[in-house]
Amino acid sequence: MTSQVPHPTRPPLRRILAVEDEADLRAVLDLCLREVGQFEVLICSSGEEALAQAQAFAPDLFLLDVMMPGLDGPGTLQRLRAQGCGAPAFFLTAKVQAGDVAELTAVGAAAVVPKPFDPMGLPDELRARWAAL
Amino acid sequence: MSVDLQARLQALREAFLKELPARLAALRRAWEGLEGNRQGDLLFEAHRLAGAAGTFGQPMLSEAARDLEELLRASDAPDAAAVEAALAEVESTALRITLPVPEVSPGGDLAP
Repeated sequence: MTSQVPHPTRPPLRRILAVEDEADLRAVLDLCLREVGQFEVLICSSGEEALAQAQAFAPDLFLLDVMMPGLDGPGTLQRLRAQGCGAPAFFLTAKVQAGDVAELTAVGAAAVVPKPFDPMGLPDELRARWAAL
Repeated sequence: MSVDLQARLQALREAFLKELPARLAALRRAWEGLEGNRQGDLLFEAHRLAGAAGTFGQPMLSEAARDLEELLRASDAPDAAAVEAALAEVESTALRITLPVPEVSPGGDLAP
């Protein structure tokens, strides 16, 4: 439950599809988003997996790691959009400088969340950024 | 945070530390360049480590990996000795955090 007043046209954030290639970070994302954040969560290990699952899961938000082997975060988002998945996307990346944020925004990021992320603080950070959209 | 969540997070932190030797080996392998793109592979591994280490409660290791990543990003042909030094710093930081904390004996103070 969040105490934030939802945007008039934007329902509260509930369903998140996250893509992260590293197994240990998937485990911590699962713990923090599901247990701490109380979100409904689908965590995929690759962009390809996200493309296969996105329509059925129908997330409110995509949370995409930027640097992944194979299909990276921006590439995944581009293909999600081509599939007709229009949910906002936040990128997760350890490379956050002003120029990087501009670059990621240009490819469609609604927000850029810096890594390393604090597992206990991530749900609130996502809700705050969601509320600010 | 509940005790259960804390315990689960702690277990994930410990799992990260257990996996550290494999990550360090991947950094070394990338730098030795047996699989081709030496700089690109090392940058990728350093970037991953910088991102993961902070989340698992190891900010110093995250910083060391970030320094290495930035060095590699700054130039197409970084100075090999500088890369080696930055990589060695990552390795020694990892070693420090995985070694047991030495016990300080009460009689171990330096004599005046």
